Amino acid sequence: MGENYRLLDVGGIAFDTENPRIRMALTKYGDRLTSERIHFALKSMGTAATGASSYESLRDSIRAMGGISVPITVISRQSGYICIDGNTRLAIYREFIERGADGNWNHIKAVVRDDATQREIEQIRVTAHLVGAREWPPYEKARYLHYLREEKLMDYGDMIQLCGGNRREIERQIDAFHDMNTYYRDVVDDDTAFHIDRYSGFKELQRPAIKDAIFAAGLDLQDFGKWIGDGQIMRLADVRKLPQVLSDPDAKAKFLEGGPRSIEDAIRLVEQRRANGETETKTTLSKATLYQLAEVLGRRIEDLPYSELRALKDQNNAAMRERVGILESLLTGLTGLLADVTE
Amino acid sequence: MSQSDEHKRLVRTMARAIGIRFPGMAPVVDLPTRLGDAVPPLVDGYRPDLYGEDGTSGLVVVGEAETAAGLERRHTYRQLRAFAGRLERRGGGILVLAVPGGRGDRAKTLLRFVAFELGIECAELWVFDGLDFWVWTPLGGGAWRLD
Repeated sequence: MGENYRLLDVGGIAFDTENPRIRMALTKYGDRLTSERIHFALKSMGTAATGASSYESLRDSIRAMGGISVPITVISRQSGYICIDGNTRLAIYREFIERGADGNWNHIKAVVRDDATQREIEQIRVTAHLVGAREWPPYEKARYLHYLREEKLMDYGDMIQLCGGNRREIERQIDAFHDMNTYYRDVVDDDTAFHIDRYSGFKELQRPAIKDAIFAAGLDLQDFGKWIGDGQIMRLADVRKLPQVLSDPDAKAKFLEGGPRSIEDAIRLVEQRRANGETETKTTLSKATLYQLAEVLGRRIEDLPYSELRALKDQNNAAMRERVGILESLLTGLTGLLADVTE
Repeated sequence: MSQSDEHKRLVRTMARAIGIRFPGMAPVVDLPTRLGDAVPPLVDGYRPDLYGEDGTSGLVVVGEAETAAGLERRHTYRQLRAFAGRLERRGGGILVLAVPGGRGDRAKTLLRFVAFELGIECAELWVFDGLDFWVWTPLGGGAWRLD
């Protein structure tokens, strides 16, 4: 594969429709797709969990530096160039052109891969987006791994060489993608009811105890898809509690017959039973373990009355301000602990 | 940016967008800067971030802004259910859920659950993702369309 470095006309480079953010925008907006919406789609991927915009940080950095330092990567096709790595940087240049920003944004540094094979293109995408700072969303990563394994017949050794990790983790992601499509995507009434943010629930499903618990309860994975689709399981971490819920007849009934978030009521019932079963060894606050306190605290936060929430929000007196301060200190401590144990 | 600052930013962005979408409405937002500033009225025991009523047509718009973390709280779901239920009993109105750009799908998921749980037919459920308004339509099993 030959490559050469060039300064290319921004207008002559197309976005990569295999890039999940671009593909998402194409699907979502259809014939109402505009460049503003493409930029929005690229920008939004950096805001999903934290509210911080990596797009905006990158844009500010590029403007300050007067251009990109790392060239984008394009492939040459009869129709022109296609950007296979650097779609966000390309979008930023286009935004600067549209807004008439100071500077020369009409040309962009690029590595042109002449005669790139499909395998070489996959390698570039994987290296750029399956690991590291510019990772695709988990569902899209899984989709790509599924594509490499099932359609390109790439063996696990090659996939591990490309993406890192281990075979078991890659298998889990591929299986989660398969189950999500089979038991959720393919059964909802229309595409807009399918949300990729449900993916981590299907990843949790791959833990051995979860599927076993579902089958042991006389249920199947179609039911799981329904629980996710209908919102009976809304917090996806609650999938881990399925074995406890399904093995308790009352909790199971509460869960299966309830509406959205019914698993939370079922979990509460299980935990209450557990707490009642421990009445002989009732503990005081000072003797409770960290984890007992954490479970109770979590429930109290969930059940916080609206009036108390408003009072904390308004902080109209010293007592309320002190309470918010206590919670903020707890958050600091907890964040630090989790950072230490998950390094 | 702290969660609180992020929430205020979302409320202001939502208010601006609703002001443009419904000219002449002049909605009230829950961002009082001085004692005595107007705040939205309680709706079924909860105070929304925005409330607007068109004096001519009678259209009511209730707006709620949520950060990514806020969307995951049970309290949020109860609020959204309360607002949607109230509008449904009223015979119509619009509930707008404003969220950060990357959380549009999550917001749609939540409102879809509300729509199915309450059997929403009259109230309109909208999501504002920072750029566009998305509207829930119950027809054909339910779908989201770009406003």
